[in-house]
Amino acid sequence: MESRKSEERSGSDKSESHTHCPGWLRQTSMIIAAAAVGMTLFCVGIGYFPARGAPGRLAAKWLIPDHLRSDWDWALNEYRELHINNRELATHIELAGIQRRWFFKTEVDELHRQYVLNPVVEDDDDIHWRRPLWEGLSQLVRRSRSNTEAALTVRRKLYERVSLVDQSSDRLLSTWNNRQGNDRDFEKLTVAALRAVGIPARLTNSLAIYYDSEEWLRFPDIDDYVAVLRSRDLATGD
Amino acid sequence: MAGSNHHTQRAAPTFVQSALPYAVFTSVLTFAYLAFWFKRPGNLSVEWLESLRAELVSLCAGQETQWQIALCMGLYFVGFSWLSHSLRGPKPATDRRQILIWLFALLASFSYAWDYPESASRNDYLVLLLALICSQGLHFWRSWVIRRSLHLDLGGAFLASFAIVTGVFALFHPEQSLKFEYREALRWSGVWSTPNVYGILTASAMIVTICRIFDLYQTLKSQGSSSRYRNWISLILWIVGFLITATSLLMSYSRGAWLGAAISLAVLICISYRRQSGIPRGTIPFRAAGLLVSIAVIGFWTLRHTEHQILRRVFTVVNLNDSSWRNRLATVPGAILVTAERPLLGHGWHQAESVYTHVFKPDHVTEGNAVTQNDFLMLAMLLGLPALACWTLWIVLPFVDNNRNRENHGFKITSKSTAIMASCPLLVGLMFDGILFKVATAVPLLCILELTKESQPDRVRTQSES
Repeated sequence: MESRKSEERSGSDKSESHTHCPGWLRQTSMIIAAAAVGMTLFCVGIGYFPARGAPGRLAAKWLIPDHLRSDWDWALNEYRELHINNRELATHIELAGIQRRWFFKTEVDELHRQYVLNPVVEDDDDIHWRRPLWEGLSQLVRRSRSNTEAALTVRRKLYERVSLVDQSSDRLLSTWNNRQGNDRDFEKLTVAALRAVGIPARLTNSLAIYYDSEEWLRFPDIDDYVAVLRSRDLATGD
Repeated sequence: MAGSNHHTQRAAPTFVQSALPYAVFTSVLTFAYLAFWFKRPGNLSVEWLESLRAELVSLCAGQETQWQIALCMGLYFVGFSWLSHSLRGPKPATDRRQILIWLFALLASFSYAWDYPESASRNDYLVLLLALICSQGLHFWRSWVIRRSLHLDLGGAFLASFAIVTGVFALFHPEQSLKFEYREALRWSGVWSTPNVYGILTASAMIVTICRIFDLYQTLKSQGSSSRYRNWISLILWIVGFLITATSLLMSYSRGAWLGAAISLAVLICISYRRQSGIPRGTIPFRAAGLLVSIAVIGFWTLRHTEHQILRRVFTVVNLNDSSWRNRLATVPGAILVTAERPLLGHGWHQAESVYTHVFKPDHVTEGNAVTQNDFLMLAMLLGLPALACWTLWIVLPFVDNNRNRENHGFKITSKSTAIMASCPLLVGLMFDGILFKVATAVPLLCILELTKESQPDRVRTQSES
């Protein structure tokens, strides 16, 4: 009986050592874990609310860095009728901000906001193009020395990727994903692609133009511009 | 009995026997660290050294001569392995790790010889062979020490040499043609090729210094007055070493190195707490880990837009806009497809990268060398899946055995446990920074991995048997 009692005692000692944990540690870890989960749910969830009013102002505090806050406030005011949520707008703001800060510095705020940050390309209601185009094109132009060099590189990449057909693809991003579209789709995609890498661009008479050295420039005809790129490649030894 | 005599009567080493390991390890590591510097022309101001460098480089690079160097190096590898095996007695137990490294070396050599003209266009095989020779040499030396029943901790000597040499080299920042920056802050790269290599080596060295400090502290607590003065001096010097390596680690801005160091420290804390307090797994360490993770999550959401360089760099690990880790991830599908083309023997020492770059590289990834940052993928593409399996098992086995044979009475830092923790940053480097085919990292990597396995004394030959 004594041996059984000692076995039971050692068994209960073992179970206590298995479960022993200071109370303060248990409570602190639970509180902090709850705060972490709550904060994550809030920061992720706020992104799915529409970018206007109180959700928009709350999102500014948690989703946007300080130096881009003015762009965010401008976009909230400018696009309050647009069906865009906080997360999508934050993507536009952040990626445009990265390209402006580190690669293609557009000095004039208005120029940057209207022709780089602007998620609307002409009458196309597709506004989800920024991230796919940025991921697909930004690295190609990291070392470009001017807006023109980057614009030509982007244009060449689009020529390689997209086949020109008669039928229009309904949405801008469909032209990129499906790799085909008509002339107008191609020009709209060019404008979006240039904006994605941080170069001001717009459509004029259904043609894409871009901004460099205080003027708006057209793309040369395809034969001319292949020759321009070829001579540049020969000069740099690429 | 011979076995009990072996365990109880260990001879004290002579001064030369004690000092020689430090001298050899320091020399080998110095050579390994300076290899990158020597490889580039114009870095040596002395003329005869520069011409020697040019000769060595042309010998290694030339198709007519490289096979001779490879053959000589192969003989060293075979020699060390055979000598280690012969020291283990007439009927040694199966050493699975040795079998695995032999298979791996065999597959690598077969691939090298099979398509020699292509293989000889690069030095990757020679670098790998050099590192294997160093690890086998260390293995042989440890076996010899056990055979001679010497009271000599070769593992400790190597790790101490590694920490000291790395700490010293971390202080030098010669002018390099390529500067690395993070948001206009200069990233230190020292005498090595990239800040990531710099970070990984200093992280491993830092872990060794921490283990040494921990060990000396415990020794000072338990010891009497004799040799306390010497131990205090050692402790202060190791603390200085820790400060140097920790600063170097921070200034490298290498996230892989930071991650490896964090893993090592977490392992050290968990094991020491569990073994000292006797509390089994599943209680306090997990609570503490959960608490740390929660704090990190809260820190991420509140500080991810901070302008503080180091904090921002930490949180870019989960930043969707950071292209470096995204590029590394983007290489995985293409590398798997390349491996699937030739899964058994791989594409050989030169073909794999060009196959990936020209056929399987995603459009948006401009640089094809992102795939070279993952050594596991590279081994799979170069040598095939069997070689990768041998290599992976060779790394993993000591960790599995260590977990299985865990003893729960007090915590003492041994060379083996230090090596396990110091290998964590290097293993992270294998996955994200392509350190296997660089001399500066391959040599310490394989030597430290060699030390993760306890050098088992086999039955010692008695005089009648010999």
